[in-house]
Amino acid sequence: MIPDVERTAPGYWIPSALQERALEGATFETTWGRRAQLVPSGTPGATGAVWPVLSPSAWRALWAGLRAAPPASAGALETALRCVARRLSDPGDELHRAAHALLPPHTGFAPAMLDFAFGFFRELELTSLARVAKWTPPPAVQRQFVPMPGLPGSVRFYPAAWSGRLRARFGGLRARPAAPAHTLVGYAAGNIPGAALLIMLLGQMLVPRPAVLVRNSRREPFFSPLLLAALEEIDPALVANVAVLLWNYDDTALQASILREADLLLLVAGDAMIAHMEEELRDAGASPRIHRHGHKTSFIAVARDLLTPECLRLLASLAALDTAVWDQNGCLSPRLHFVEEGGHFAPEGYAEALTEALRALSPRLPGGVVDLRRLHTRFDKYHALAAGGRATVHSTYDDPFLVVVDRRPAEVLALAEAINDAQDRTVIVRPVPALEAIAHDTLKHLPADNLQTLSVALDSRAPSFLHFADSVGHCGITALRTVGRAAFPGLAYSWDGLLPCDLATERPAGHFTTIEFDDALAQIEETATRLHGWMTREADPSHLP
Amino acid sequence: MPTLPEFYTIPLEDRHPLLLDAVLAQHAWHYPRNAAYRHHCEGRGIGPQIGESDLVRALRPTAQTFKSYVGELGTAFPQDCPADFARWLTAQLSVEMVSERWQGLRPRYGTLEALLAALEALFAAEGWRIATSSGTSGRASIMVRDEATFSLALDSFFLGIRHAWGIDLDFRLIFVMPEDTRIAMAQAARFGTERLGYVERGQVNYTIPFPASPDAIRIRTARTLRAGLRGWFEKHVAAPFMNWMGEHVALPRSTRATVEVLCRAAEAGEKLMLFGGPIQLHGVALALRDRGGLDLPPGCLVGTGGGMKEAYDHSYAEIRRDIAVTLRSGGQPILIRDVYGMAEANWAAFECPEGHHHLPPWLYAVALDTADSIIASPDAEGILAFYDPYGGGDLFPPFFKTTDHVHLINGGSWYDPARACPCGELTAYITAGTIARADLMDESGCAGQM
Repeated sequence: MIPDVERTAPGYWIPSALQERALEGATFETTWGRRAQLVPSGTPGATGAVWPVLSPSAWRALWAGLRAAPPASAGALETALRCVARRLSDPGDELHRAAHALLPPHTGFAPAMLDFAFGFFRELELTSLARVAKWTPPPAVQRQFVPMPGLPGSVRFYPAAWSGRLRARFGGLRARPAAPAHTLVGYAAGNIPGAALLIMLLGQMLVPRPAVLVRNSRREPFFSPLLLAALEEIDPALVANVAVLLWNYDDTALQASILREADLLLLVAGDAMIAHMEEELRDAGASPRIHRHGHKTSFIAVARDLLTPECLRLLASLAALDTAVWDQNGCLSPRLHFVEEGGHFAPEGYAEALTEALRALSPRLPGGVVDLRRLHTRFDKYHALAAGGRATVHSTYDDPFLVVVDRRPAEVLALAEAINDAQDRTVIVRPVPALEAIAHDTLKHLPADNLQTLSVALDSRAPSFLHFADSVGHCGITALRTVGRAAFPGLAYSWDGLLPCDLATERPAGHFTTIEFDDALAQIEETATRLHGWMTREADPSHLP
Repeated sequence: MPTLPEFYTIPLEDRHPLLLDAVLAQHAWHYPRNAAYRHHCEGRGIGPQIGESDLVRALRPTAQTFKSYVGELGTAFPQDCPADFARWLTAQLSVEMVSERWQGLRPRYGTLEALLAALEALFAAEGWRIATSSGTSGRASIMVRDEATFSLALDSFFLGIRHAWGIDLDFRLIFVMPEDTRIAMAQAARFGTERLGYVERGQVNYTIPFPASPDAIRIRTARTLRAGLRGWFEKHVAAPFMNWMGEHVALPRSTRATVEVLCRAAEAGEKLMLFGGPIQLHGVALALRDRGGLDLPPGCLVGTGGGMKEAYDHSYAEIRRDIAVTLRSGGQPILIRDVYGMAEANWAAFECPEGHHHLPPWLYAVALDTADSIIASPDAEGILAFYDPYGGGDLFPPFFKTTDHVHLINGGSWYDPARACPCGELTAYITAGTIARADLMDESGCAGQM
C-alpha cells in the first residue's frame, strides 16, 4: 500500500511481465529524501521512494525472468531513448511532469538544470557505443594513440604495472575475450540522476544480453525507473532483462546472494563504498569481473594561444557551463582550471571573464544544491589569502559562485585543498607556465586512480598536442574532451579508464585514455555556437550537445 | 555598560537591543583598527557603519580566522618566519603595534611553542597570553588574548560554572588535563583557578603528567609534518613513540593520579568537580569500576568537555553511563554535565539538568541556514554563529561563524516563552544531542575528495 501518492513514487523498476511473480508476497518500504539528504518520514517537502522487499522465491523468479528476456538491438534502444528524451523535454508530457514533480525536491537540482541536462539523452549514440563494445583494441594502443572505430578521436592504453610497460615496448596490449557475462549487477551513485540508467545501457551492449540488476540510489531513486517504464511502453523487449531495485546494504545475506549471481559487477559509487563492496565480495566468495567507478576529479586546461580578445569570452562561457552543470557535483565537473601564462590575457583575465560568464549563466541554470554557507566560508578563506598576495578573488560575496586565482606553490597539500574547495560552483584557476608543466607539476602528485577528465581549450593540430595528451594520460587522466562538453560525456569513450569493449574483454590492469575529438578548435566552436543559441533563444536543451 | 553577571538579571526585552547596539558599536570600533577584519568586511561588501541587516556579513569563520597564517604565509610552521608571522598577527589585532616591538624576535625558532613564548615575553606588559585550538589537524588556530580579554574569558567561564553548575570556591577542582598547555579551555582553567585562589588554597589538581605543547600535539596527530628527513622522523619515529607513550604511560599515570586524588577527596569529605575529556574520564571510570566504584560527598559533579576527537570504541552516552555507575555523590549517581566551547570563544555553554547547553546571556547567538542567512526564529536549526560584544574583549571583533550544526532555541532576538528550557534558565540554548560538526571536507558524489 503506497501511503502518500502525492509525494511518493516507485524507487524501483521491474519489467511488467515479471512484476506479478517478483512482487508476490513482497512488503514495501519508503525511503524519504529532501535536497539529496535522507530525511525522516514526515519531513516537510520530502519525497518518498517506495521499494519492495522481495521474498527468496520472488528473487528466484526475478532472476529467471530477467535471464529469459528476448533479444533487442542497440539501434532500437537508441531510437526509443530519443523518443523518451523528447517526452522528457515536453512540458505537456506526463513523463516530464513526473520527473519535475519528483526530482527537484528529492535531489535539490533546479528544474532548469534537469531540463538542460536531459538533452544528453537525446543525442546518446548507442550504435557507436555498441560498436566500441564489440571492438578489440589493437596491440599498438599501448604504444600510441590509435583511432576509435567509427568515432572522432583516438585512444591509448596505459598499463598499471611496470611489467605491462615493459611488455608494451615489445608486444603491446593483449586483450582477449572474456567469458560471456550472463548477469550484470550494478551499484548506482545518486550524485547526479541516471547512473542506474547508464549502467543498464552499458549492459545492453553485451552480446548476448545479460540479466541486468542495478541497485538504485536512495539519493536519486526516481529517474531511472521513470525512463525504464517509458522505454517499456515503446517496446517491452527493450528492457525486459533489466531490474532496478533498492535493498538494504546491511542485509548481508541478501547482498551476498546477489553478488554471487554476478559475472560482471559495475560499481559506480564512492571509494569507501567500493572498498566495502569488495569486502562483501570476499565474504560472499564471489569473484565477478569488477569495473570500478569511484571518486574522480576533473580539470580544465587552457592554452595561452586562446587567451585572446576573440576567444576569451567564448571559452569562459564554456568553462562556466562545465562548472555550473550539476552544480559541480559530477565527476566530470572541473575542479582546477590550469591556465597557461604568457597569453594576451593573464590567468586573472580568464578568471574575470569566467566570473562574467557565470553571472550570465547562473540565472538560466540556478544552483539548486549549491551550499551558500560553504561557498561564503570559502570566499572568506580565499579573500584572506588574497590579503597576503597568494590569491585573487574575482567574484563577489553575493555571487552564487566563487572564482579565484590561486597562486600558491603547487605543493601536494595546497593542491588537495584547492581540489576539495572546488565545490558549490567554485572555480580555482591555477596559473601554469606551460601546459606541458601540468603533468609534471600537478597531476603526477595526485592519486592517479582519482583522475578523470581534462577538458581542453587548445589547438589539437599543434605537433605538441599528442605529447601533451600522452603526458596527462600517463598521470591517470582517462579522457580529454573539449571545454564545454563536460556535462555530456560520450559513452563510447573511456569512462574512468574503461572502454565499452572492456565489458566483454579481459586485459592487463591499466587505463584507457581517450581523446574525444579530431579537431579541438572546431569542436569548441561548435559547442560555443550551440551554447550561444541556447543562451539567446528559448531554454531549449536541443541547442546543446 | 553592564557587567557580565548583571546580564542574568537584565530583562529579556532590554537585553536584545542592548546586545545589538553593542555589536554595531563594536563593529564601528574595530573596523578602522583591525586590518584583517576590515579586509573581510570589504570583501563582504560592508563598510564602517552597518545596520542589523548586515550583521551576518560581519561574521568570520572560526575554522579559518586565526588559522589564516597557514595560507597567507604559505607554511604551517610560523616559527620559521617569525617576522612574517608578526605581520600577520598585527593585521589580526585591533591595537596599534609599532614594528619596533617585533625586533626582539629571532629570525627563526625551533618550535612553535618557542615562538609563542617569545611573543608572550615581548608583550608581557600587555599581559598577552596565547592560546591554541586543540590542533588535531596539526594546524592550530593561534589566539592572542591581552590582559583585559583574558580576564573577561576567565570571568565568563567561572561565572558560567558557578551559575550553571553551582561550583563554588569551596570545591576541589580536578582537571584531567595537563597543567602546561596552550589549549584554550585548559589554559583558562589554569589561570582562572589561580586568580580565584583555588591554587593558593591547594584545591586544584591537574592529572595529565606531561605538558602538551602545540608542537607535540602536531607531531602526535601526524597530519601536518615537517618536510624531508625531519618529517620522516616525525611520522615514523616520533609520532608512534608519542602515541605509544600516551597510551601506555601518560594515560595510565593520569588515570592512577586521578583515582588517587578522587579517593583522597572522598576520604576527606571534600566536594569536588572532576573535569576532562570524555575518553580520559572513561578511563578513570573503568579504573574505579575495578575498585568497586567510589562514593563522594553530596554535591559533586563530573564535567566533560572537548567532545570526542579521536576514534573510540564507546559512544559518549556509554561513557556517561559508565561514569554514573562507578562514581556516586551522596549515594546517588554523580551528576554529569558537559560544556561546549571553542578556542575562538571567550565563553562556554554549560549543560543543564535537561541536557541542553545554555549560552551565556551576554552572547547574541544565532543559527545560519544553508543560504548563510540568520534564521529569524526562536526554533532554528543551522550553523551556530555568535557575537560576543560584552565578553569578547577589544583585541579582535568577537563575531564568529562556527562549524557546528546545532538546534538553537530562543537565540538572537527571537524569544518564545513556550520554548524556554524547563530547567528554568531563560537564556538561549542548544537542544540536547544536536551539536554536530558540519565537516567542510564533505563529499559530492563521485566528484571526489583528495
